[in-house]
Amino acid sequence: MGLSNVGYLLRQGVKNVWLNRLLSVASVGVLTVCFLLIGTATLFSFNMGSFVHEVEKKNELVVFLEDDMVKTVKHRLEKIKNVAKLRFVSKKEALEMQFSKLDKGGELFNELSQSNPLPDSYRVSLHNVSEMKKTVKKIEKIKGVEGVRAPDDVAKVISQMKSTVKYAGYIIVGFLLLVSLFIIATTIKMTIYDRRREINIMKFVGASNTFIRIPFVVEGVVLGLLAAFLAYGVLYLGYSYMLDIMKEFDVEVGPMVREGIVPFAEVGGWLIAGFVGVGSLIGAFGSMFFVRKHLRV
Amino acid sequence: MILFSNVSKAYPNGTKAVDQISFSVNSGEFVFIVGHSGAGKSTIMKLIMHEEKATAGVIEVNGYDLGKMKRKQISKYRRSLGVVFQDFRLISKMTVYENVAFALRVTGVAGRDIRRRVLYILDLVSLLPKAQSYPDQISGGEQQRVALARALVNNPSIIIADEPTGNIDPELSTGVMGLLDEINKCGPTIVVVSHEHSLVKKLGKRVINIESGTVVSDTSCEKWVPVGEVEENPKA
Repeated sequence: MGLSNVGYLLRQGVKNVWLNRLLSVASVGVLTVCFLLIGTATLFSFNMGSFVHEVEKKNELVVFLEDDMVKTVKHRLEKIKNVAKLRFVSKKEALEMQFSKLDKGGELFNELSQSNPLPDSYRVSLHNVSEMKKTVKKIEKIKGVEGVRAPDDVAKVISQMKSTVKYAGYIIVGFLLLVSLFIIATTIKMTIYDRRREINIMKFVGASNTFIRIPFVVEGVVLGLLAAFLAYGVLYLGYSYMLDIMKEFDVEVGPMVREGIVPFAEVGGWLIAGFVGVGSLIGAFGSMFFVRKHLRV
Repeated sequence: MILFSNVSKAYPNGTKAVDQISFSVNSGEFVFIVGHSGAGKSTIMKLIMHEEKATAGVIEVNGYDLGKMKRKQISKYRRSLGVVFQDFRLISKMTVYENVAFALRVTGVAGRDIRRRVLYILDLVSLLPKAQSYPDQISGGEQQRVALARALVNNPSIIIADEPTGNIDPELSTGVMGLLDEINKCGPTIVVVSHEHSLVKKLGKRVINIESGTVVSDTSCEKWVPVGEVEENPKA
């Protein structure tokens, strides 16, 4: 096959998108809707993961310290991989916190201020709450640590939520992908069935299978790419619009949810890469596969 | 050259379309295949085109043994034929020019040569002004000439025409047959399937008469008597 023919076949593929515009619109429409469903599920799953992570970050261990061991313990705590953040709370601060809702000028407060029984402590945020038990054991072994208070029940719930969100995300996206593949395959099949006569004529004029296939494959890739960019654009606009509405109406979602919202840019790259990859591959292989049946003449 | 040797074709439903037929067509010959509807003419065309495979016998065309031909050779084989179909089989989304050019593109002819040859052949069939029209924008007779132009543009060694005048008026029919006759004088073998006896007789070529899937006569036009017609001045 000469270069001029390759150019002709590529041009023919792009031209066919326009010539068969009704079916092209149908194919791009179906593919776009599938991508939108998958993209929405992905964004939802990412956000749920992020919210859970925010909750995770808010759950702190309280590491009580022996007197004058602040620096030594700090140094050792920083070396533990699961430790994300340390916040020192002095005896005085601890006492103030305890009495924050009470009358600070009271007798008991004044008495305790002079001989504060509370120890210095570190509030420790973890990267992964599901490994809380292990981390607590490590911390307890540190010299200078008097004791550790860990919200075990919360850790358990968060850990369960994390894995539920993760696997539910996989299952939903996987299911949508399968349904999409089925719908897209049917659409491509219909598109090619509509043009079986054209394929048949080409065969009788002496066109080789490759010569017939290439424009269909190019057409499939172009339709896949169009759907990918269209879906990406719609998702971007929809997501931005949703965030704008939240801001505009100052929706009371709480700081944890607000901080947990994933910026589109963080997921956008993955989405467009996935859409372009899946779209062009489905277009190319779908066309190649379904044309094959009509080439047997 | 075309050779049919004891060829039979039975369809899966048991219908025997052709039964043990044998004939040959030499290079440069002009032959008519005639017969009533359902006689087996179209099956013979399909067998030559390798659209159908014979269930028995041997078919050789242009040196290819069609029974033994590999799948990959089919497209190359078809490029050596020029075929005019009864229903024209033009690609509706291609212009007249593109339809004719397509037959050249599949053979890998360079772009500049394609243009030169397509314009020449469209001029030959008087369709140059319609080059940029789509098939549904031209008449049946014009579509027939596009199909003819597409069959001719490759300079094939064999031209097969299935009822090439079936969808056009008598005046145009004579023109199309005259054109085929002229082309035949330049060398290619021509096989025409037709049921129009008057046209067949006008050209005075060899006639193979098929009825019920068998060859009932293979003779010159002068000696040919269509089945069902009473021979004039029969010999005693």
